[in-house]
Amino acid sequence: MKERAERLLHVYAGEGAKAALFSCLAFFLSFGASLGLKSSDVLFLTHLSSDLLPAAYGCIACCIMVCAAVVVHAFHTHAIYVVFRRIISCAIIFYAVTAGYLLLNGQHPAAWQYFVLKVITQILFIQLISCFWSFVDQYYHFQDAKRLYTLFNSSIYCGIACTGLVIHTEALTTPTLFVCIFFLLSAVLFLSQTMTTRYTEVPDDTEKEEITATAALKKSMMKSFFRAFMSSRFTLFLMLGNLLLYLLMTTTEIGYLSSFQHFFSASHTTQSSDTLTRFYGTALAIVGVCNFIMGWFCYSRLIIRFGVTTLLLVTPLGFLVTYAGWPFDSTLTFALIGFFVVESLYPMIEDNNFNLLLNGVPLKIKAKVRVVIESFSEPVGMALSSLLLSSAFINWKVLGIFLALSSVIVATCIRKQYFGALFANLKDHALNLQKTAHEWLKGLPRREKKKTEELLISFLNQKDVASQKLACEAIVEWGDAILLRQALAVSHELIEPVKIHFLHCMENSEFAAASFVTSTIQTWNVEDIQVELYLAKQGLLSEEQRKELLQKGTSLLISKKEEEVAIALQILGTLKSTTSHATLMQDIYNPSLPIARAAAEALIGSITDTRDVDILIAAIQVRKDALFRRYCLLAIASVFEVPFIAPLLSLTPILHSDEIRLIEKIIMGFGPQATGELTRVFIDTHAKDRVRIVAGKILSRLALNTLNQYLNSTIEKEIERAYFYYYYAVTLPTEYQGKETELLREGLLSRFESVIDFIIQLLGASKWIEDTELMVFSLKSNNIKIKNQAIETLEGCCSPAIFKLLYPLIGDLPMKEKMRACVGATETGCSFDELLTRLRSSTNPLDTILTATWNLFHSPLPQGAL
Amino acid sequence: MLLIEKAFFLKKTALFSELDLDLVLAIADKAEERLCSDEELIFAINQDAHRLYAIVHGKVAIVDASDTVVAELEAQDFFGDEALFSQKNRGYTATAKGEAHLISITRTHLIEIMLECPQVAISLIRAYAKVTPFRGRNGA
Repeated sequence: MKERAERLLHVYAGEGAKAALFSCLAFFLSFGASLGLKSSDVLFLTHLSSDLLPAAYGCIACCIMVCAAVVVHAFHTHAIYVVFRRIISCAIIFYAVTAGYLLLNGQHPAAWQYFVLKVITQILFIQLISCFWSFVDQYYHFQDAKRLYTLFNSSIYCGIACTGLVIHTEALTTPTLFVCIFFLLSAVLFLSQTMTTRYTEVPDDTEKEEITATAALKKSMMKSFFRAFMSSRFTLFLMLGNLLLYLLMTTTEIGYLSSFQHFFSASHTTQSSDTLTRFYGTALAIVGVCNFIMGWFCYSRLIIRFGVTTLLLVTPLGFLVTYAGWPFDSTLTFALIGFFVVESLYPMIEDNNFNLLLNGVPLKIKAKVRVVIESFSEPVGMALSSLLLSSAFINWKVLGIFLALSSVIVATCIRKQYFGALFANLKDHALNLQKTAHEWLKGLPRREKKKTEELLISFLNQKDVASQKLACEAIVEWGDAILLRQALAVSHELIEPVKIHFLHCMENSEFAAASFVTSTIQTWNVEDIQVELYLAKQGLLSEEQRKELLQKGTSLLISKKEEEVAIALQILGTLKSTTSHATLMQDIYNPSLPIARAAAEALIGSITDTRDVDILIAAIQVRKDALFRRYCLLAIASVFEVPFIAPLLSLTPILHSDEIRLIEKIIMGFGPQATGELTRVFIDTHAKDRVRIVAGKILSRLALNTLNQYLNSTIEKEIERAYFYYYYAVTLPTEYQGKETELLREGLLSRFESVIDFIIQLLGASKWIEDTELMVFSLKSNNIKIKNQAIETLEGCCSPAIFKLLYPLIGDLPMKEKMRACVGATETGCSFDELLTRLRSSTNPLDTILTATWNLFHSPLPQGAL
Repeated sequence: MLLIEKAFFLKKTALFSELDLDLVLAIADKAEERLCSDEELIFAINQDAHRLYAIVHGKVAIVDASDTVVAELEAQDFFGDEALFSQKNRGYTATAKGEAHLISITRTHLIEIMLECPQVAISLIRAYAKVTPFRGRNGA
């Protein structure tokens, strides 16, 4: 029964109690806050005139913006739960004082007090609900939010419905109502405290530790918040979309109410008021039931089936349909559609969508943005719509069409930017390890660039050698001629090791051969042979000087100092002496790293024989030095041919990411001719995963259509493989616990992870993700919020069918759910022997290694062990 | 602090001294600054731990559970890393002594850096080994 209820509500096993508590919290909170709001509305209309409503709304709009600023500020310095509890406490105190005051003053306060009551209750309602969602966000990640937030939202609407019931029955006097609110909000405070102690927040180190910020820091935090807010286009569109929908909601509400009134006054001459009331009540009841069903049972399924990017169009399109027909319709059809959109689609779909779309906002400012948007949209929407509708020149139906069209356009923009915004969030959070110093420095804002230039030159003038060397690197990497000239102007003052370091940095620079560089270097008073070598590399030595240098190089070849031999090899390579090539090829295998490195470097651009490529590939496999490998790969690039693609790709499992990028670049340089060979490697199931990934990545750039032909079938096969590894890693028999079983389990898990990496890399490569490594890294992040954002981003990269298969493998689902998914996705009835047999007969060599490792430790288990 | 200043500072710390300019710039980009006034609490004992701190200038007092100052750290020292790896709450309180300028890095980023650049992990192990004459077993 419990399991059936959980499945019906889309709640996973074990999370029911937590979800129920949050639902209770949402219910009590909205019941209490809306009871206060609606009671104050009744008091306002009873004791004051409705003519004062615009003034009240104006006042609310101003006050709420001030309050929003205070709450945003509070989020900078305090944890979200602290801010939430403080707002609840304020509300409790306010309602307690009001109740006491009403009880003591015989319910006859002054008129202005009703005005103030209306303003404060409205502000409290908005802030309480807004902070509630920020509070909930601390305990659930994105994928949980898709399933559960709709439950909490429904609870909020249940609370509001109860408020209507209580006010309708008129069973309680006003002071008693306020006493009830006091108790309801006290229950909320108690529940929120219980939750804070009972449940741990989703770990998120993007937030700062709780601090007592200094005034300067507070100021800089506010500045950075506004900068982040304004620079996120997605956030601005979200805000605009929210405002438009609010305007539409108010306009439509007024529209359908007046349509109902006209219709009933025209068709029912007698008792039209009673008929209208009955009709309106029935419509509200039907919509209420629809909302309940939608909120509790449907939304979570719809969002998983279609995604938020589809559902976000529903409400704007609903409004568009309404206004497309309304001007031409004299019946109630379009008024009723409008009523349904406002009363059902908006609260049940749009509100939930908004909670999910907020994940596209930069993570650090998400809670604050929620407060700003919610505090801004409602009062501004209210003020604007009342202003527009009260204008004699504006027809509300025309206004509605215009707003609905604008809303659809903005929703389309949000939809377009959503996955990009999520990915930008991931990028923003992740370390950008692929960016070069050149890219970092070039990308600086103009003012910072100028200051950085000054600083780098000042570092050169310091006596600290480490800073001087680093400044040299930065200046050369920057690649700015003016800055380089400034640096060269002070370079005479540098000590010799720094000058030599400067030369090394300059060698690969675009200004290496520039006259202003070489002329300065020639004036340096340095005896080191490396200056001559540098000039030789730039072709600035005369024939005589070259001969002299070659002589020096040849004599250094027999030196006992390996640094000198390395320089000698570089000289031979640079001067391309007839005997040098053989010597260099020989020294590739020299046990001394500097010598081998120098030989490899000298070979760049001097290889002509393709047979040397095999030697270099073999050398890369033997030596792990990054620089050596890089030089070898660059040397290979000069004689690269199609048959070398496969051997070169086969190196990728042992190479680092920057070395792999170099291989990609080399093969890419070969153009479409490489497609055939790359396809062959990509579909070869005997090849290692890494090799296939790189082949797929290059293929996606050279011939995306070719890749897509094989992609779906390949991914489906890989997903089945991932399920297989995962299922058997989890269900390995516990009665055979031992080192060998543990090894096998770890092996299966590691195979599972590498298959998942493989799938993600392929999905990323075949779509728009420019940095699939970042996706893989984010999916493994120990920051659960980041991980779940990565999952959502991945959803944008693959078909719903593939994502549905993939999600149980990568999402944070309870084990029971994962196992349930495994049963449908892979063969789960293998005995232990059958598992080993399947691994042994696998085309993937790593599977065979797994079984070999097992056999090494253990004889096969008896049949039926699993 | 400019990005380049942060990068130069990080390069001077024992933890990141062996990294290339590209990498220190990437770390500097994510490092957050914090200016503390005299006696300002940086973090308290038993608080959740999310960040590692490095001192750009100024001094930081480390106070244990019995309110005893166990160390006074100076520029280029780093602290707050212990709880990041033990996955426990802060084991000590850190307070600024005079005005202090700090740079902090999140746990997620630190782990990311260590996975990408094992030199950082080695530097960290070296730092631990320097102050650990015997790595106690079973709580000994």
